[in-house]
Amino acid sequence: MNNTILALIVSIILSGILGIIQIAYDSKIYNIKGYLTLAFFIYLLIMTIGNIFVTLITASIFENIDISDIGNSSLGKINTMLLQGPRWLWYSGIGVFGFQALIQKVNITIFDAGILAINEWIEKAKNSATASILERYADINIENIRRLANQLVDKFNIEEIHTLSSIHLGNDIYMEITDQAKKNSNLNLELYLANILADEVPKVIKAELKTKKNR
Amino acid sequence: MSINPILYKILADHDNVEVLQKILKSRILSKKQLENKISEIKNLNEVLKKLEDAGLIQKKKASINDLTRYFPTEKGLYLEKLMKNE
Repeated sequence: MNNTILALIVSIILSGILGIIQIAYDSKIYNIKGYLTLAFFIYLLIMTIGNIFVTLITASIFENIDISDIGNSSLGKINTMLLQGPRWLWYSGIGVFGFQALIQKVNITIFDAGILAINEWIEKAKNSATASILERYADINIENIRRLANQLVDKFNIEEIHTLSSIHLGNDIYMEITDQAKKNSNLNLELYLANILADEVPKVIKAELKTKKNR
Repeated sequence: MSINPILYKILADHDNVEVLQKILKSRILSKKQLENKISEIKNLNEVLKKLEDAGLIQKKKASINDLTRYFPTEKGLYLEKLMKNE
């Protein structure tokens, strides 16, 4: 396989990794399930196209240098340096990190209107991806709470739910919830408590359900 | 994306900015978590409605109101960047 193709493959892999790191940092969501959104894939696509483009330019420049002509020039020295290691690694490295530098610096303006503000466009795509991931994660989160609460109500009796609530929510919060519930006769107190438990201490509830199942 | 006068009016209110900043910082917060974080704001529902109407935050309703999730929209995230740059 030639250097350019290998460099493109590495660029695509690096684009995916960098895209996930950037969005994870921005959204503070570390559950990969939340990332399955169209906006996130569009963001990855934009980043990948940009990285491929700069990688191709890099490969094209260095593959076409004739060392005999420019042996002592700075470009010639860089080319000699590249010959020390696998060229594809250099091409993809320069391509991916070069594109990151382009994103920060390229901003062509005509009559005070930005026509090539790459940074702005990438930022828009990133914000859109982050917002869509947050929305999807909130959905997943609420669905998980509902499912866990229903399992809790199915597997545990009323006394057990009250005991678990008192232990894991703390007696003060438990008393506060039960007092509030007394004012609303239509409220299913056990289901309410199960929902609060599933939200506050999901890992503990999962462990309790597992223990109950194994008994 | 620009900041319109309605948005300026919303951001002029200290309570609105405080709630928005809490949501932006945590990214996703339940109503209960918000109440715990900002106990001094009495009209939290009103503030959340204003921010939602301005398109800065979005909510996902849960079966229990306390567990409803609030998170920033694209516009809210853009505003965060502007606030950081100021």
